[in-house]
Amino acid sequence: MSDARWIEIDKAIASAVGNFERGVEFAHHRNFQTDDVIGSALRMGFMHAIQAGHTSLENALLRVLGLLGEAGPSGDSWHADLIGRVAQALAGRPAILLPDLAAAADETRRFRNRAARAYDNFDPTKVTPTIDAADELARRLPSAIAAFRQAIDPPP
Amino acid sequence: MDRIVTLSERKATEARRRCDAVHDLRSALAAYAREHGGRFLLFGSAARGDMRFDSDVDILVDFPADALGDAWNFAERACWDRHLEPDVIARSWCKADFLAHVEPEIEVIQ
Repeated sequence: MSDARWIEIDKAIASAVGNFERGVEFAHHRNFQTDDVIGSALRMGFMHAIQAGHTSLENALLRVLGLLGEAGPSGDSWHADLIGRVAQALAGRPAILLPDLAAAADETRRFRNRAARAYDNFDPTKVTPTIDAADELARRLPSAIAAFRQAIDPPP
Repeated sequence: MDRIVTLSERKATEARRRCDAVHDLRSALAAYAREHGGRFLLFGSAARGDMRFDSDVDILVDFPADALGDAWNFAERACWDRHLEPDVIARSWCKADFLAHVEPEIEVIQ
């Protein structure tokens, strides 16, 4: 029988995907760059969605590490170290995220760090790499986690 | 009992440590910038040399788009390695009024 903790991991991944999808949807809305209240709400929504998406992704990845009995990274750089860790194949397990998907996760991490510190000094309409990364993560995260699950916890 | 080290003494020591660490950080950032064809722009208390015990390090990353993420990661890591708290942003992401506001105190590292 498969480990029941995959249920929470799948929920966290679904939350990440939903938030990333919504963020991309906001960014592609025709009013995303307008100066009116709709544009402002879309930009705020975009920033919040990407932050929430990355937080859910981290939640899922930490749960995967827990499943494996691996201690999560600690210290000031733990958010960045988590991405580095899951991109690495270690003894007894493959990488959890392939390098290009890990790079996308690192992009949303950097964006979250920025957006969490200050909303007013940057222009979300200029963050094309973040929008592309969120789109990539939304499309590929479920299959990446499914492939890892298949490798580490195959059905009997 | 050993001499008590007051909070204000501890804060002063930490502020000095952070200033010294930023001095070392500059060299690392400059070497990276030269090697990778971009520049880092230091601003805020780290650029002015008046860091407090809890000051972070404000850095604008000004690199070509395809090198931006790696340069950003390098700046973060260089700060963490020196027990400094990075506050990094891509220059290309910034609003014009924000850049105009910080422009007078920017220290270009390249």
